Amino acid sequence: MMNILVFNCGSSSLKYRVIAMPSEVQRAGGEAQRVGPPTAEPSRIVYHIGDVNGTHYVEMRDQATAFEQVMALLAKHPELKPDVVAHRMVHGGTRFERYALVNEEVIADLDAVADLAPLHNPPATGLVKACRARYPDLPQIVVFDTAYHSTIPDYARTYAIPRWMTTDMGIRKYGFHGTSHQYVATEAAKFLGRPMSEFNAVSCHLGSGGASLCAIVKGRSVDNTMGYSPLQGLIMSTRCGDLDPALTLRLLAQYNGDCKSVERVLNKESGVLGMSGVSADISDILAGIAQGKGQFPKMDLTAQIYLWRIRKYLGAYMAAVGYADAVIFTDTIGEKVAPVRWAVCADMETFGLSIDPERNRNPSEPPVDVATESSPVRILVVQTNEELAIARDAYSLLSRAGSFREHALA
Amino acid sequence: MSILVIRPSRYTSHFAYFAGGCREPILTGDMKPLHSGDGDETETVEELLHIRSLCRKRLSAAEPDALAVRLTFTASEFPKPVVATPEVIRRLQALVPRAPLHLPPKLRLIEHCRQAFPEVPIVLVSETSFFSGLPARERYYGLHADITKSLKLERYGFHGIFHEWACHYARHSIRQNPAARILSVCLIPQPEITAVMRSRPVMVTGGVTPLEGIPGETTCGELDAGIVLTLRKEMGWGPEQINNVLTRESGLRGIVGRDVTVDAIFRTDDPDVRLAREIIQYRILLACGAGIAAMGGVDNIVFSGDYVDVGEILGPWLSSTLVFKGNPDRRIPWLCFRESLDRLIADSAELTIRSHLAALQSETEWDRSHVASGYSVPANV
Repeated sequence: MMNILVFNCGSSSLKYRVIAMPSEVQRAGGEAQRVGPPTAEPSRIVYHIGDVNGTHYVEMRDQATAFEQVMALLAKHPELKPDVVAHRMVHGGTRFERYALVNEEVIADLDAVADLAPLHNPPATGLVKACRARYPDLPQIVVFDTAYHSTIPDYARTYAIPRWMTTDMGIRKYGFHGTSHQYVATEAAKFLGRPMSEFNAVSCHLGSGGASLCAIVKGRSVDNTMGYSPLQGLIMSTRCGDLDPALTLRLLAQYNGDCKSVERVLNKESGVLGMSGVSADISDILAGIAQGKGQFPKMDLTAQIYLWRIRKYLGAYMAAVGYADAVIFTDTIGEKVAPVRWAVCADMETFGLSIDPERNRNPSEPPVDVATESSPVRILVVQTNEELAIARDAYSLLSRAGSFREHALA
Repeated sequence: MSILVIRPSRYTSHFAYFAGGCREPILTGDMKPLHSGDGDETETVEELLHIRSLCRKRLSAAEPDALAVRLTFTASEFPKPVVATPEVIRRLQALVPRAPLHLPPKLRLIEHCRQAFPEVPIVLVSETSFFSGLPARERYYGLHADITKSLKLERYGFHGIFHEWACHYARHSIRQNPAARILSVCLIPQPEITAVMRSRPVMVTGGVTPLEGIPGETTCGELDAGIVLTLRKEMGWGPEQINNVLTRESGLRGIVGRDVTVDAIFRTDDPDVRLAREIIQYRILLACGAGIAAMGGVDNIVFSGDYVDVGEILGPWLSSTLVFKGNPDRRIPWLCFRESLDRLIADSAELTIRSHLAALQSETEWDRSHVASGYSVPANV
């Protein structure tokens, strides 16, 4: 038995779990919130150890400080001492496939792919470095969100640009949220009693921050709405999603060619927040409309555009998959916001989808099926657990490589 | 009604003369491309006068009843073709800031047409008119509301003339069903797909410009915004240079490494073009899936455009691929609409003139039946 400490590093948060493997028992976990410059609310770590919950208020100016605080919290419980640390890394570029055991060479490669996901990769790489400096003997593994999408075929991952840009610059679709899509697809296949190798689905990872859809054929990813970067595809909390390339050029011209400004606009000032001007969270917008604030045209339009984009991509991926067994909804919005599932799946009988209004409105604990009895394609709500998926990957790598035994005995 | 169609462009302008009652033009040819600057354009008037004299010689008398000038962009300003009255010209001039390179030469051409044919009404037939009623949810991007508003960033769609007539043809073909849900696939050097419900487009692959959507013969189609920024950062290119690569060096040319047409990639076994064909085919499949979702179903697929014959390959493929659980035996009917763009522009102009004369233009639904009745309905519908 080994304790795997999994870190899932966001731009202003740090989620962690201590998972005992191979039993998959979650022994502790929590989230460092509001990491970074001071905000309206204090920084804190909301945690649980076994069945005990708590909140620890402490200033955390960066991810390295948050990491130190989490380790200090865990150090009070010797039984939680980690044997391995595993990190979620959003973008592996062409340098990484599925996962990697951290060494100096890997760290140099992580630095090289930092710009590919400017919101996510740099803080996660900073965390890897902080961990290595503080605990040089503790084995670390990085698991890439892009890994599950390595099976996307050439025709779906190749952009129609000069070939040298693909071969020399690595410009192609990578896809993201792979860890989550793979996890929920595995759980959905189990739930329906289908072998993963025969399971076809469209997975909708609708988070409160990022969101993407994944087309899955025979258990493998064949397409993802995110592309070269996490900007493409659906409309997200502050990211724009799909844009006419000429539009990005127009913004570049508007900002005198300054990439940083355009990056800021597209990554942090667009999406639900930019369109509504009220909130970055689509559930706030939908709740506002339900409370009669729909007379504010921006809120209504934001909801329409957000939902429409998901619906169009769902149709596109149902066409790509063909005979889908299921449509899966996961992550904060996908699991908790019934009106989103309804708006996306209603009137989609052509695709074999029939959503049950009552089951959808009041679903039981996930995994749960919210389709009508007669729906040829099932509509599932599955709770994602990226940390467990990462722990499984880390355990699998170490078991195969024998590294864990060497490190554990050292 | 005899119509002289003019399709101006920056590369090669084109004209076609249709005599009354003829479906085929009796005279066609190319004209010099439009100037983008304020250079001497007396040549254009002379060319038009030459065309006029050719028409007279061929037709012994006839002055065209109308000129039809095709415009590729008028935003959402004109939901239907319009006669170029002074008021219409003023509205076009007001659109210049949104298309500063595109509209001024077209406005000058309209003026040259007026000089060469002072007694003949000029009808403006725009490619974006059909999309003027696009729903807001499809029209807008996920950008900050202030940016959308100040830069007037909206999706338009760019091949409305083919789409509108092809959909009309499809509705006419399927027992006059006005509520039909139609996927219109326009097969041209920059293919475009639109989903049309009750005569109204609800989804289209074209964007703020024709660059977005399905890749074309030299255009990139959909692209992650991060790629544009990477090209700026890593290559040090400015917006103009990036635009040049994405509009002229990408698409099929970029993938294959040489010039190749949309038509050719579907008619060869050359392994060099296989990936390009698969990419285009896959993007068409995705767009069709999105269109079906947008309409909540589909009754028909109609192909049109310069490469409409490719529809004979794509039609059976889409029909057998767009099959879903619960409806395994359902095959979506498809058909090809083979009219030329020139003829459709002439038909649009003729209807507009008739409506204009009857002073019903703004009130009545177009009645295309007298034109459409000339089309034959294919056997596979």
